[in-house]
Amino acid sequence: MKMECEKFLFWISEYIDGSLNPEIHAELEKHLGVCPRCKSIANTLKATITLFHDVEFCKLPASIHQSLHQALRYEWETHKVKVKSWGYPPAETIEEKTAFLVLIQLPGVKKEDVNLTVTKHVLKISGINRATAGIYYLNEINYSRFSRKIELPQAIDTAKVEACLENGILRVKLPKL
Amino acid sequence: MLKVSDKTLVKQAKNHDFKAFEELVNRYESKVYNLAYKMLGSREDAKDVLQDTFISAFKALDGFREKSSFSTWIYRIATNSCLMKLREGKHKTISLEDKEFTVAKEAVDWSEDPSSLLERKELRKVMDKAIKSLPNMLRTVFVLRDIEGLSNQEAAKMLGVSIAAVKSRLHRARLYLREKLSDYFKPT
Repeated sequence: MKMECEKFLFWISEYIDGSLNPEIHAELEKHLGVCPRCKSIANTLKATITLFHDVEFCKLPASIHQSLHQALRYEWETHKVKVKSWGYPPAETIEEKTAFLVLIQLPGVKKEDVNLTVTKHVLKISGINRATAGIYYLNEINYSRFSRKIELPQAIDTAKVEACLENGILRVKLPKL
Repeated sequence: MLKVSDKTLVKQAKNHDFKAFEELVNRYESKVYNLAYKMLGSREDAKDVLQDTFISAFKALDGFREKSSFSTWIYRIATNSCLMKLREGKHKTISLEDKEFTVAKEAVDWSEDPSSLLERKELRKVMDKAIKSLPNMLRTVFVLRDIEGLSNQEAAKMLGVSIAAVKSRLHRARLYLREKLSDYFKPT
């Protein structure tokens, strides 16, 4: 092998990356012009990189896709500390003669998954809307943790608050002080 | 329909939209799986890395500051997961110093149109075998630099080796793989 060819092979990797200093680069370029063998090594080296970059050796099996998504959904439901708070779940406050009535939409949520705390002026509700386990083909229902503070128009009697969850609606009765 | 950008999906996912996160997973799961396979040479390990990658990404999503693109970020997580697997030591290491990396005397130029070459099943098999036969030290550098597109500096940092070591390993890995492909294309 000629000296020039050896030199070229030594620098070939950095040559194709274009990271050599201009003098060496120009020298190698000149050599390529006269040496078809080195030229084809450079070409095939570039092609090698392209091939390995582009190749997909394996299609992702559907079963792996499904178990990945299932695992992620599980993570999302159980470990997510992220909390929905703005406008979720939908609520309304109605003033009655002696009390305020707060209605909160919680379809599908179980009683044991809801927490309520009250102070004189604020009702706080938090909890989780749990997903059903399984492989989803259609998924439009929003599952998440939620937390919401509802300010009350005037002070209430925290000792006499009553709540019940029925038909997907949480009704909280907060007697005025 | 206009394709929603990764950036938008990231925003939505951060804003508790699980479907947006799932869409990001759909976009990159196959690429991550293949990256892991190239790095580890085993479908079983690639599957583990795939799962680890997206669960880690999901947990770290809030902290993702979006200085890089989502794809770069996710490949970075996948790479770290691959390197951890390699460090667990289940993968055999071949002493690469002993391996000869030569270039054949005659050189056939088969470099035309790589994308149509990839349709050859037999070639893909040769490539699969070739990359698997690379020693870990060379393969990881090759995958980081030429498949993931990291710089020498980035690869060196990730692997905890010098830039000179990255350059020399990359050089050897590339020549080795080229040689294997040239064997395949050699006229018989």
